[in-house]
Amino acid sequence: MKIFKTILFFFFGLLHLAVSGSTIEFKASAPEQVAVGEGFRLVFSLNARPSDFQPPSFDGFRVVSGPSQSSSSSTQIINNQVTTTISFSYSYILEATREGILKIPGAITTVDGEQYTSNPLEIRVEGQTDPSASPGRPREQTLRPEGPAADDLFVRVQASNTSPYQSEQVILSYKIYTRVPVTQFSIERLPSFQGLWTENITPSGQPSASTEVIDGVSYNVAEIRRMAIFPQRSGKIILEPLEVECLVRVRGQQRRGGLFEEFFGSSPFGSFETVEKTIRSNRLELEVKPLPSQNRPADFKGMVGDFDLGATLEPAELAINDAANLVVTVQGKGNMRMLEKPRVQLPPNLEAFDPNISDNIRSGRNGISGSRTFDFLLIPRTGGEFEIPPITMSFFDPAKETYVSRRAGPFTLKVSGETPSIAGTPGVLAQEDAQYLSRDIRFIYTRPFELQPIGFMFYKSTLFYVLFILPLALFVLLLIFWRRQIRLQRDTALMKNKRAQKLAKKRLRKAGSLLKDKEESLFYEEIFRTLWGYISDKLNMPVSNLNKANVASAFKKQKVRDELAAEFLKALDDCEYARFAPGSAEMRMEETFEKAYNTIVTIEKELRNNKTNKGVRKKQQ
Amino acid sequence: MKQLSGILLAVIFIFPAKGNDLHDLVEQANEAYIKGEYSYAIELYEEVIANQKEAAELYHNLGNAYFKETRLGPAILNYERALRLSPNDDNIRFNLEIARSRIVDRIEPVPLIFYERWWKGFLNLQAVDGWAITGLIFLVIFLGCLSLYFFSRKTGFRKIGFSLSLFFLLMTGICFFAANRQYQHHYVDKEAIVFVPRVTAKSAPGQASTDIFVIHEGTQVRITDNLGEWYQIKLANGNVGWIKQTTVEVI
Repeated sequence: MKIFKTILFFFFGLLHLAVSGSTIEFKASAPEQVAVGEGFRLVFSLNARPSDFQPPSFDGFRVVSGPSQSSSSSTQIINNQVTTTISFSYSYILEATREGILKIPGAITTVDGEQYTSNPLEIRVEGQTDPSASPGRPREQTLRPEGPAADDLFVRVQASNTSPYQSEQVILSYKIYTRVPVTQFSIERLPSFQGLWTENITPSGQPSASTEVIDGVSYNVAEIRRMAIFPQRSGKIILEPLEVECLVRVRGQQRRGGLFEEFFGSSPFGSFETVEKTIRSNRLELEVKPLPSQNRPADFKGMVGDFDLGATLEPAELAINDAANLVVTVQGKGNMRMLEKPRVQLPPNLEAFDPNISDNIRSGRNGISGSRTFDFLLIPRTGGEFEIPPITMSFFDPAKETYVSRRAGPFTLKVSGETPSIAGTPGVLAQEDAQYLSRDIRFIYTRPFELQPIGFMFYKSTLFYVLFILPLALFVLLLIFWRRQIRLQRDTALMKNKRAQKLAKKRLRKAGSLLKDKEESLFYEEIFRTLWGYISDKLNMPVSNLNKANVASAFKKQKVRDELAAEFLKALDDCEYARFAPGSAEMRMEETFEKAYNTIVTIEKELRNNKTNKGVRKKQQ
Repeated sequence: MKQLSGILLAVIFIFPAKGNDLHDLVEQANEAYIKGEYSYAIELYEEVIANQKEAAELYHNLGNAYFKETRLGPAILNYERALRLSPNDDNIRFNLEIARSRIVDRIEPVPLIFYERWWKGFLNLQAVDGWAITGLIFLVIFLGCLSLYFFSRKTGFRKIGFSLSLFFLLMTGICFFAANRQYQHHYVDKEAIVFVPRVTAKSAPGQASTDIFVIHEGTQVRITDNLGEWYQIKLANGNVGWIKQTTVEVI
């Protein structure tokens, strides 16, 4: 395209029309051979005014700075022909990051709607040449002939501690090292300080200069910025470089000028020129350690450093409703500005206002230190002694790597005077409800208790069913047994009843034979036994229980007529009488026999009648 | 009555010899709690439970330790377990109330009518076993009175025996009914406590279904159904939704 255009111009002789378009050259230039980490300059130069510039990708290189743009133009009039020469350049400072032959493709620019591409470059990158050089210092000496060499002017950042604890104070110091006179400097870009809490502690006024010797070379050193930083999180924190723009006075002769400048040079002896130069500090990495969680006190609130706690109570004795001042002072070095109000546990009836906080915090060269004072105003509302428990404060001491607790107090406040009672009503005491201060769970059970197997439940267990059924079964068995017993008893009674007459007859027969044999005493005894035996069986009463009185009542129960009962008793009496009354022989024996027999027969009849008359009648004892 | 049933239980069950070591463990845990080493106390209490032993007091203490560590889900769970064993314990109820007041969700339960409250209060006088033992005692007394009725010859005794046996029959019935209700409430109806900070209930078991409501740690839910790895839950205010089984812990 370019060639085609040139040919066109050539053949048609349209040179007079050309203003800037004679031939457009877009060239890239760079040294052919560099070392890894060495800064070099890459320049794209163009002899026209571009409307657009697209840099190529710098694969394998790091852009230290750039693009910086410069332009110049010159106009020549020769034989009425006006020639304007424009030159534009884009320059980069690059640093190779790896060895080998690296390629930089061409940049693209647009001039008057036409696109031009610069020549691609091949750069041979060799191993590090200067291992002693401190890393991060931009090396551009070879290609910055117009400025001071990088060795002559650089910024360094230093941290007092690169592996601090979280919230520990670290002092950062940015220093300019120079061997050339710097007339002015300004900080162009501050790092973002992410994850850090910072405070500027740069001494005011012109930075004081000193001299330092590095690698046998002495430098003028000026501290341009000093900061106190407090890491807010643990882990790796990277501080981006600080950028400083300096105005440096260099000797004019040192500049490589063109023929024009040399010819019209203002001073043949070489004047001082002021050159602007941007320098960047090294990057800084902080490895922030977390605060240990072990042994962390409950009242630890993130304070790291070294602190002292003091407290005073003034006055210690006062009257009701007068004010006392509790002044708590924390003093020390560290993240003072994050200090929170210490927790003061005040007894009830001691009214307290929010503390009045006053600071005396200095940010000096060695960081932030000072004191913070909390002034509590206390007003007792009742008399007596108030006990204020000790005020405590905990912090982490990075030097000792332990948590430290400080305490002040306790204090006793003596209040004189009596609690005012309700006015106008003497004798009535002012009563107050119990004051509930806060709600918390109740304490654990410390008494010993029985542990039972998990999941064991008595309800619906086998034991439960056994215990449930056992009493019921026992009861039913008892009931059955009882019933049977009753039936059995009734049966024996019935049997005895039936047997009674037979037995009586048998005994009477025996008595009859005894009567014939004239065995008097035996006869009476037999009759006696017959009567008692009969009545015992008939009435279902054991013989041992028998006496005349209960026989009579038993007869009454059986609804036996009274005269019959009397007759029976009479027979018994007679029998007894006859047994022990001597003399009367056979006649009386006969009579007694007759009487007994008759009585039994009548009672038998009577009882049977009663039974049929009254229907079935339950036999009772 | 509770004391009596406790003694009865103690008489009925012979505690194994290993109980002593566990008692020491409980002592240690209590000491750790008093010193404020709550996480250590939790470890020790959990070890006792891992040995398959339980007690209302143990669950209560464990709940307290969890509460102090501000782990409300486990705290509420353990208080509920304690109440299951000792429903009438004032301290457990109080602490449960406090723990519940700290959780995120404030779900108003459907209010109870006064007699329902009384009935509930009556039921909670004793745990399942307490009611069962009381019921058995009343049963024996009832049978005693019935024997008096059956076997006494004196009419007066028989009359007293009859009316007393009626009364104790009624008491026995009430006790067994209460035991069954407590059993139903605590062991058959599954209640669970939300254990994760936040869980979204779905309209159906499946991630894709619609979100219905969000509940937070410590909220008590009733499990009404389960399907695969999902539970259907019902809140105290009557809302129903499905949540993953891993998000809750059954009491």
